[in-house]
Amino acid sequence: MTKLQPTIFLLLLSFAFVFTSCSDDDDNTPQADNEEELITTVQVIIDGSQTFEYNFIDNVASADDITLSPNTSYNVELKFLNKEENPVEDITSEIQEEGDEHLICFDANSIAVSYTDADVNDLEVGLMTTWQTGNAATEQMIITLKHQPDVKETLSAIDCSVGSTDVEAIFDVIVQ
Amino acid sequence: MLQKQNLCYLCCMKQFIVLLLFHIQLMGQNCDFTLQGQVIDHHDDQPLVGAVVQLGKRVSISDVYGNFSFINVCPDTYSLVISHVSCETLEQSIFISKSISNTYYLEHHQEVLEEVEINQIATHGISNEQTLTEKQIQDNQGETFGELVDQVNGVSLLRTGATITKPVIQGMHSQRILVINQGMRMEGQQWGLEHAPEIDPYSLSNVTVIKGAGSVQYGADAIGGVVLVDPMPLPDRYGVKARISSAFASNGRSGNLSVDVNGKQKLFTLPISFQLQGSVKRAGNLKTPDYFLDNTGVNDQNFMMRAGYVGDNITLEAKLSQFHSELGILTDSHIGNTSDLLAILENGKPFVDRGFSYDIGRPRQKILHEIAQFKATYSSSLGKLHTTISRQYNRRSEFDKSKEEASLQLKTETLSADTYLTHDWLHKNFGQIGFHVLSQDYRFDRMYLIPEYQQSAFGFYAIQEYEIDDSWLVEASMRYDYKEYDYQVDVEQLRRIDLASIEFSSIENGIGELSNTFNTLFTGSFGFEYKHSPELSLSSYVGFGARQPLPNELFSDGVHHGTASWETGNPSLDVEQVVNMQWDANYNKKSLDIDLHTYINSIANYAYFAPNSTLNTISTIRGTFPVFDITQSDVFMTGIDYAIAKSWQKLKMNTSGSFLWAKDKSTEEPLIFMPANRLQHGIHYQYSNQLSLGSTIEQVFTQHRVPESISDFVAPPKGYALFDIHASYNKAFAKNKLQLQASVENIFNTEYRDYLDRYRYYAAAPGINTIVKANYFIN
Repeated sequence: MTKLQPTIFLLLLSFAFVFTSCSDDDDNTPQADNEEELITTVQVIIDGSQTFEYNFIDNVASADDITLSPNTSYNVELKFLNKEENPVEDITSEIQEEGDEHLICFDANSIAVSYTDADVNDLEVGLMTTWQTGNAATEQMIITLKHQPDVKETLSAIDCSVGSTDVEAIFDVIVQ
Repeated sequence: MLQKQNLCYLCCMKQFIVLLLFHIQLMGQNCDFTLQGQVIDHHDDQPLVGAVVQLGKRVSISDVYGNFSFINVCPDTYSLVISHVSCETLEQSIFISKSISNTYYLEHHQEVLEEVEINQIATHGISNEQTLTEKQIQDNQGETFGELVDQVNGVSLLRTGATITKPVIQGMHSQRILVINQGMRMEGQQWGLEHAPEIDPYSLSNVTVIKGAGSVQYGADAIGGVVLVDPMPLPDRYGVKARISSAFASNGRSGNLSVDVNGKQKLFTLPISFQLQGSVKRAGNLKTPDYFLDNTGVNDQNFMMRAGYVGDNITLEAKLSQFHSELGILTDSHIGNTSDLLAILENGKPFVDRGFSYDIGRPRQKILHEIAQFKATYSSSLGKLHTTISRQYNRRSEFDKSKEEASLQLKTETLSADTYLTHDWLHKNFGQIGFHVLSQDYRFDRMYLIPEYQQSAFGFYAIQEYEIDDSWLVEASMRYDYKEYDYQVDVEQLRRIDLASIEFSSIENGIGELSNTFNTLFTGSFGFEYKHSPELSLSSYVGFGARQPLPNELFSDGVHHGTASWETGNPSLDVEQVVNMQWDANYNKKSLDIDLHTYINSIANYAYFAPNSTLNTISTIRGTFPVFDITQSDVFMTGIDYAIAKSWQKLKMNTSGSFLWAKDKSTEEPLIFMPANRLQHGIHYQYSNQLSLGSTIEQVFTQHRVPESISDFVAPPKGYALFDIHASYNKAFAKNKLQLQASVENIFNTEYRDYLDRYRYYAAAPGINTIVKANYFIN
């Protein structure tokens, strides 16, 4: 072991310190309110006049039955609300602003859904769609809000299997 | 205690050669050169008076300043011999071609040194103990702490990807094993499967694994075993040493750098030993054979500062360390609901692959672990008293995909003190008595996971060895722990847990106060070791342990990210009790080494999350999730770990294996999530003193023993074999040393998934990885 010169000793000491970090965590002190953005309600607005709701409040799900005519095309608008706030909070505009991170998917056997809106990357979002019904039928329509941050923009076309589900709303649709 | 002389203090050093001798052509016989020098005792840096210095046939004696001189020296090569009573004689060849002035260090005899050596962790006990060699530690630095401990035969890993690893001993992990860092229990929400031990492998110089329950010195709840880690003992010799370590890996394009400066200097006339160590790591996305693992980068910074004083009867040490880690979590592993999980299982691989990047996005984990520790020992005729007082602060932040700020912050502050006395009261046999106190405070911000709580604990223990004769050693130990928890339960957050079943002492503003005391925590052990011959020794051991249920097992009630399941705790869980029996045989003759270790664990009230048979799913706005309730069962485990090594002149070969068989006695089915059986083979060729080469094969079998009644989203992955090659080259530069290592892991770029890797639902494990390391030791 060597008896190093003081200068070399100090040099090595500072060398050791260069790699240490007393970095202050830059997390903001979390606010007192510890709720995540909560969505309790999905509103399906048909042709601007009829409104059907799916609610998940107090751990109970409830949904209006959606009644439609066969072989008809409808303009559908979706809204997402938080009814636990008073007054009711409308989350829809946030989803629209973050359209490049969100995708709404529609799953029903005989209803063809086409998207009529787009995000900043020209990919569909799903807040505005047209539904084309087929013959008379009773089936389920599952509307899912997918959160796809950092990945939706890398896709060339929308993909419903990607991302995590933020909302899953199940409606009974009666076409007659 | 050895009488200290005025002149020589206690220490031992190797011969120190200060000068690089330059060979200069002699020009004629000009006999007016001078050799001047000073003789110093290397241990305490004091000049040595009366040292006998011989230059060829001439003799001189060092004066009161340690100085000597020879004048009118002819140019020639001489033998220089310096000697002093109780010091080792220094002999070297010296070439005089001009006047020289030099300092010579003498070292003390070996036995004198040993008395002063700072007592490292003395692991006593007959339970199976394995310590990694210094080479094994150095070869595995630059990876995670879990991967370092994995080198011990019989240890496997619970992984959350390749960057979060936890050791598994005899099938048990997390809250069932203890990690002891320089005598202090590491506390940081270790029940979390994604919470890896917060230790920098570069700071360590000793890693010992004790398998099984009953290691009484450390705590009741270590029913699976204990991992003991220590930094190096603080230096006892004056001077400064440094070590610079670096590692670069191709998979993840990572770089590690660690600088360690340690030594001993006089500070205000007091001899102070110190160590300063820091390390950084930067890694980007890992790659499987076919695709990148999105968002699996790592960003670490750690440092440690220690200072110590060794006196006549006392030693003191202070340490301050910080561990900082930022870890990316595989993008696709944070799924929304069960349908999302099934979609990715059907896809067979992640949806998101953005190629390589060093950026760590969301989701990610950020961990800070601070330790402030003070240690002291005091030797007296009664024995040696050791005390350790520490404060730990652990802050874990989790950032999920939805927003910029942390979605969850867990903060744990722990104060602990351990005091024990090692003695030889019973006919000079080793004995130890000690006690432990701990106080802990846990808080969280944002999302509810478990209630806030405060813990107080107290324990005391005694260990006694007895050497019956030269062949037989017996040991018995006992420990008693008392733990008290006070919880503040946010009753509105509980959804499935029946609040009526909890006896709160008060409920105010939606927060229920509840206290739990666990006072039946008994740990104990009894064992014997029989030395049949210098080659063969056998030991047998029985250990008892008890583990109190933790807040997450009592009060969880919500979706567990990454498992797509709703986990529900049970506030009335019982204490786990374990009986552990082990048998060891060690045979060591010439070049053959055989180690055999077999064990049985019988555990009552073993707690784990299992699917609820009546209520299969629960709904939230996000969709449906299967429900997993905490269950307590009686469980039986047995296994065997073996290692055989044979060496020839330059070649060494070894083979080892680990087998485990575990059963849930209530359901008569195999126990879920137990590590698969595995074999390992290695070959090592020491080509020369400097160069060595080797290769290892690890074979992991398919885990066929899984319960049928518990649904796992997918069957256990197939077994696999991984091949590694490695080479190592050392070169000495005067007193310094350069060490280069190169290795290729998973050389055939095998695609595989491990049963105990939580990412196996989403992605394969990393593929081929080429690693280059350069370590430089300045002595």
